[in-house]
Amino acid sequence: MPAPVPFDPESAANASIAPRPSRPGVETKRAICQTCDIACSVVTESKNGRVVRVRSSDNPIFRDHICMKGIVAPKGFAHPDRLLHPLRRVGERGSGKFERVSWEEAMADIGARLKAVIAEHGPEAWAVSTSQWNTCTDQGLGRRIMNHLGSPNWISGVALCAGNTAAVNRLTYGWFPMADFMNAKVIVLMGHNPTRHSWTPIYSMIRSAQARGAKLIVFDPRRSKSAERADIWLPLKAGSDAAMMFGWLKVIFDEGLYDREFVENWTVGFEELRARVDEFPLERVAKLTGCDPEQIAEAARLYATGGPSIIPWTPITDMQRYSTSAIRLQSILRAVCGHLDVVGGETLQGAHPQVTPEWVIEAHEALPEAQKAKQLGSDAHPAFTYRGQAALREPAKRVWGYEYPNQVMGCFMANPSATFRAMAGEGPYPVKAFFFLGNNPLLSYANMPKILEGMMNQDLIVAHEQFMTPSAQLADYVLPADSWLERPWLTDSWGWMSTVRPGAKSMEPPGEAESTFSFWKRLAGALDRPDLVPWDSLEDLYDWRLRGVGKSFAEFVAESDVSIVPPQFRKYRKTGFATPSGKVELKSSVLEDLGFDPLPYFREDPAPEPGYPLTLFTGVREDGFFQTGHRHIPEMRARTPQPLAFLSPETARQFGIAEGDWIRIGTTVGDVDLMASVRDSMPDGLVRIPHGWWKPEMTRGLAEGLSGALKYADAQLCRDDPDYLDREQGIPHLKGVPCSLTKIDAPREVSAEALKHPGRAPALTPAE
Amino acid sequence: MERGGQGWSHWRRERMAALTASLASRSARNKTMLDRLCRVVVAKVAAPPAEDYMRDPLIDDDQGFDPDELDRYQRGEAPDAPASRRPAGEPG
Repeated sequence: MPAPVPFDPESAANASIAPRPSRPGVETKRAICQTCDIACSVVTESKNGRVVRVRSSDNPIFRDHICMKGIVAPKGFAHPDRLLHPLRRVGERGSGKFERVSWEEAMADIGARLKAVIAEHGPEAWAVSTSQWNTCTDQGLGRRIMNHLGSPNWISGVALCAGNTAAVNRLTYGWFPMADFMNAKVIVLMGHNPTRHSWTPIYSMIRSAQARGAKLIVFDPRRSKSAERADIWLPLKAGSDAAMMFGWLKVIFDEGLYDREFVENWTVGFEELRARVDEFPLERVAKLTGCDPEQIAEAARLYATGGPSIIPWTPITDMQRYSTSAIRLQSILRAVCGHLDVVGGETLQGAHPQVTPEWVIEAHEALPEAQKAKQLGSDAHPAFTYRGQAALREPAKRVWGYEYPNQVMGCFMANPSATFRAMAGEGPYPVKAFFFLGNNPLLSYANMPKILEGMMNQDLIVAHEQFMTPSAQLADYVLPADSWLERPWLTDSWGWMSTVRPGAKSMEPPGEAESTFSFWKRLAGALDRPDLVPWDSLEDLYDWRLRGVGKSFAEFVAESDVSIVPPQFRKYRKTGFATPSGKVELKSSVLEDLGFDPLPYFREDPAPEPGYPLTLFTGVREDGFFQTGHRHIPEMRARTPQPLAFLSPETARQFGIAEGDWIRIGTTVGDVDLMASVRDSMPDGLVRIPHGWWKPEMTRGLAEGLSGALKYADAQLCRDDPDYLDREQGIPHLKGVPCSLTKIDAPREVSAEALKHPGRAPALTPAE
Repeated sequence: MERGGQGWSHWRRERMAALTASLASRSARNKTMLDRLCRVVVAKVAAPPAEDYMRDPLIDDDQGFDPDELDRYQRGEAPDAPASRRPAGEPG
């Protein structure tokens, strides 16, 4: 998620500024770190044309927005294995053998082969996996080209991280809100645990809020740092968030703690919702969640009456088998308690009124309805597809001025699992060309064996990457990508906020590395459609987006590092909400029309499966890494040299495991090897697995295990069978999957390293 | 109990939020005397609490990298730079 612009309007006094002295020979630039999805405003310092330091911004509203991943970025991008030239596969797919070619040669062949795939199978046979979190200079051009050519099959990791939350929020009140941390009086973290090095601005804002008296409620099975600092910690069973929220609503409705005026005037479906909530007396909720009913009630009362309150976006709710219901329950809590679009609550900001959003560039109107209807997964799991969001087009145009507001890129996506099945020849039609940019799809979605099968069944695979990832090792072409130090950026937080920020380019890209913008421009030319990318350069495109502001990108970035739109609240009183009814739909007309339960519900766990006695919690972010990246950086690997599985002392005792032992975790899909770390913060029976592991130092190629990906990547554990997919979205359940645990010997490369350095203890991450 | 954005308290908070957004815009520009005055105010408003329970020397003590050190690292000549892992025949 992007960093909200923080403010506490009630604490201005005794201010001072200590400007940083400029250093001789050092050139500074205001930039935006794009190492992770937060996008912190920072300053780069360069010497001899090279960035040598990344530090936090001089702008006080972005002060201290810096983490270790940003600090080591100059070294990470200087790594000797950085891709510097276009590469073409010369051996069998997955052999890891490539030869250097020119950009021109590569793009001419890619264009010809993509045209052949489209001619034979139709434009829907071309799928793209990416995320503007990572590519940043995509600026909607990928979707634009796909839409004009006729392919609806764009997939992204945002399908299970924030993008899907945006789409589902729209079902209830038509827009995805941003929490006003700095004015909130109660903050609810649902499994989320912002730290000094992950979601850093959120971490700072929560500390600030607590320092001025705000209360913190944390849902989390483990005793996280946030849980330790919470006023109320609800140590719920993994994957029972929706049951907990039903319990809150039961207390809030029964005790009359909701906002009656708002509910009467601005919602539909209250009585039906109340009947559903009545199915969840606290005794049942306590049983489902494992929490004390009195504590549940206390937390519900605090949320409802101690506000304004916020339930910020959390990656946990995005990834559960009833994710749609859980996200809708969050939305419903916000609305019925009167915390929606108020100061200190959840603000519905709209797009910056003078800056063209990326979704305008995406040109969704150019994709014919017949092609939209072919979007993979939209038949069974339509929530975030064109079909699922179609009923919101007119309301969005009416309220927010745009028919296709693709907030957080997540509102018009194909379903990833359905796409990979089609790639493997198991879909309604074949997908035979697969591109991925700034994305490591093999490790980024559920059911890695199926993804691998699908990738091995392609006629054309193209990767645009900084490093030779496991996914890139399977490609026909691997094209060198620039880094955030080497490109300018203009971000509107993908429509989540109205704030717009520019970031300067700090140095030239090495070798022949080029931006995502450049890649799409080259591809448009190779497809004989140069008209689709009419801008000559990134700066030219940014100038076009900023034309309503009346200044160029160069002028904008020279003048300021942010454009803030004056906040407005309770806008719905003039416009209504961007839903079919114009009100907050507690009972969703969109879901009902799509054939789903229009009310939120809870799915209890499937029956226990023999051989899988423990519960797995995966998709976990580690501080030193973002998604599947950064394992090549020495400073980061020194902190976390091996993938660590966390388990409780009692679970470790039951399985005869000691700290530092190697274990194999298995599910019905596959298994991975990890080093055990015994933590008393963990509940019994739960195993917590980090996301996205591979080892760049290991041998490349499919036969060799794709640099450790086939041994360590958590995607091999993630199921996508119906019991473990959300019904409406079709995204996987990552928070509570049955698993097995077996003690094993240390992997060969780990033993070899230990022999080279006897006595060196593994440096375990300080995070929980 | 404050509810649904009603009443004097909410009206005041909304006006304050608009004022502080204006302060932040001017503060970010930081050109004129008024901008700088706004920056002084915002610097105080946005200050995180001094207590940071996850302080990290990697951040607190960071002085950046030496450009020559990065050059050597990029060429694989630094002590912590890995030997090239490119397969035979793959260019750099």
